[in-house]
Amino acid sequence: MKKSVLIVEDDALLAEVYQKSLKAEGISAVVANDFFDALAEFRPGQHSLIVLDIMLGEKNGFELLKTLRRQPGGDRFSVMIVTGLNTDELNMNKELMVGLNIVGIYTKSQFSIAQFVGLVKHHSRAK
Amino acid sequence: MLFDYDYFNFILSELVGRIASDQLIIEDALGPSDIKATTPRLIKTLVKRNKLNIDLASQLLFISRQIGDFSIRTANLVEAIALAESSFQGVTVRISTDRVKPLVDVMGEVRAISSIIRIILDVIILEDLRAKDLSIGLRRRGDYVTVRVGGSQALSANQFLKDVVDFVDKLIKTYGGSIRFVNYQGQRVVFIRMQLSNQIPLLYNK
Repeated sequence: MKKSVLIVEDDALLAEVYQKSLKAEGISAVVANDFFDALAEFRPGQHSLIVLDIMLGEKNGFELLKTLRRQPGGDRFSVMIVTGLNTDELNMNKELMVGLNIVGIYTKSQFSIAQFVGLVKHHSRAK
Repeated sequence: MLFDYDYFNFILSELVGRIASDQLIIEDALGPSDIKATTPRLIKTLVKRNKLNIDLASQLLFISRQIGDFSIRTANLVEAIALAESSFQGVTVRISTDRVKPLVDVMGEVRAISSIIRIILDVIILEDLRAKDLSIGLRRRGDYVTVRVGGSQALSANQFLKDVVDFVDKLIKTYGGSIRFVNYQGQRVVFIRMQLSNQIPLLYNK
């Protein structure tokens, strides 16, 4: 079965750009715009990668990862963090990332769409 | 007034990141990249969003420079609103002052209040980028006046927009005002409450 990428991003426009760019490269992607949406869209074992934004509203991306990990099959996915937070803010939350299968942390303003697609391909294959 | 510089820096760095990120996507779409993730409609929307984000950044920077000047003074609200809406492109902003006298003086500085209203207009258009007709209404009661901004859809504003509203709410509290960002039957409505300046003597004599 072909696995899909789960994009968790509260910016609907950006999520659409990510989804379309992956689709153009033959990668299927599902979009979730918030914590609860992501819980509903998550299918254990069916995602090659989760592209995760941290600032999601009332509950953040780290809380989402912890909740997903508690689900059956919740330990079998890789996570690529794509965030607007800067390195200092992420360093302050380092302890929250312990034990989570985070394959990369990227700042939104530091890569182009072509690089984004390349990274998703790379991390999906590495899994 | 205690200005929350950490909060301000957080909002500004997030905003600058958004501008840069959208700019990269726009340049990608217009450049020679093999991956065309965007349609003309999407590009148009991203350009519009970037303009609004840039305006938001400039208003926030302006407000931050005014902080030392947030002393008690009087501002004409109608003048402040006119300044705020004067340069919006592609969006009509209708102002209704039927329920108040033409001269509504509130506590605050006219440019700062105008900037706060402008930030609220930016935020509601950023939430609903298809909004075309916004309305600003004034209602005067006892010792305060409420500015009601509406005309767009409530499309579950993201956390960043809520943070911006929260930030300007803290600023306007300096003038004894407050901001409510509500979803009224699927419509986004923002109420900005401001103290009328006839309250100044009462404050001074407390």
